[in-house]
Amino acid sequence: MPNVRVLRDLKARHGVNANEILRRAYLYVARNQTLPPQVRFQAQLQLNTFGRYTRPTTVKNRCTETGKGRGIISEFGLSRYQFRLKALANELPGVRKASW
Amino acid sequence: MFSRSCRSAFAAVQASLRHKTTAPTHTSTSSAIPSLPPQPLTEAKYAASVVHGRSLRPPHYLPKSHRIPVATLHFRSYHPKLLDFFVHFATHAATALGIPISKPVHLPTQRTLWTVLRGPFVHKKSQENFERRTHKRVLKAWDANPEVVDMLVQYLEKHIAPGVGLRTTKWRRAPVGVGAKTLEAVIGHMRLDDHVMSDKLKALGDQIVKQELASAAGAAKQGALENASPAPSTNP
Repeated sequence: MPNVRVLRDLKARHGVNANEILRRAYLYVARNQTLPPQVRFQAQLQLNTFGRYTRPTTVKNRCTETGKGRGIISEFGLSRYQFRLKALANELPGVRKASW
Repeated sequence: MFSRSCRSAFAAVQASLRHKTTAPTHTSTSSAIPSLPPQPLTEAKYAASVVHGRSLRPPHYLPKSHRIPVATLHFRSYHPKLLDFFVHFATHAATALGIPISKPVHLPTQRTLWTVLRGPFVHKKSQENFERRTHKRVLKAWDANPEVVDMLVQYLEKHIAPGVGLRTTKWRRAPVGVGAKTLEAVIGHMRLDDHVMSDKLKALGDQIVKQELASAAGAAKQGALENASPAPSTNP
């Protein structure tokens, strides 16, 4: 069962995916300096009505096992400690202990 | 693994067949064309002959007739023994289909390294190293019909060993002007996501601008009406 932080991140990813085009259209209007200020202001107000989980900044790579947000090895989607545990348990194909 | 032990299987079959050929046939061929070199052993003859443990030996690498490259087969795996085993299988399959192939070429092994802390929290001085080695082999194929090459690739993909990856590159002869025709055939199915995305954005943005401008104009008109109708005294 995924961690609550992982679930929240999933929710954010879905929300961002669903609202990306509309959000960016409003951003395009809001930041376009050739348009009258009233239109840009309305677009900015519309942007504020989008929910928290539609912003792309809320998406963060997290450890799929523990939900940890730092030290992620992105190839496996695991935090460094979980990566070590799994590698030692031979659950990651081809990954072995090395020394040099 | 297999190559060194019994390299002479093919030579042995060739020699035995040469012994078995009767003198009259030999003389007849030599009388027809005096300077004819001895015929090379064909794959069909080789396959029909009895060789015990043939699959353990390296296959008979067929000679290239025209030196036209038709395919490259890339194999990769984390397990070198499994990889060599499957490449050996692939060489036999290719030879049995009559495709001239190269011997397995070893590409440089890719080594991925990770260094992680041993514990879940701090203690930077105590770390552990991990690695993953990706072994790669390549087989080149020449002078075969595209159908036969497809057959080989399908066969290998069907019987691929778990833990081994196969990527094939095929080359085909094409008529002149094939590019334009392919473009015509493909033009409706191309993935142009970025382009489409920017277009969509632009269209939506323009629509929003139009709406807002219209509403602003409407509001201004209403405001003007309101200003005009109730009391002219409010004018500054």
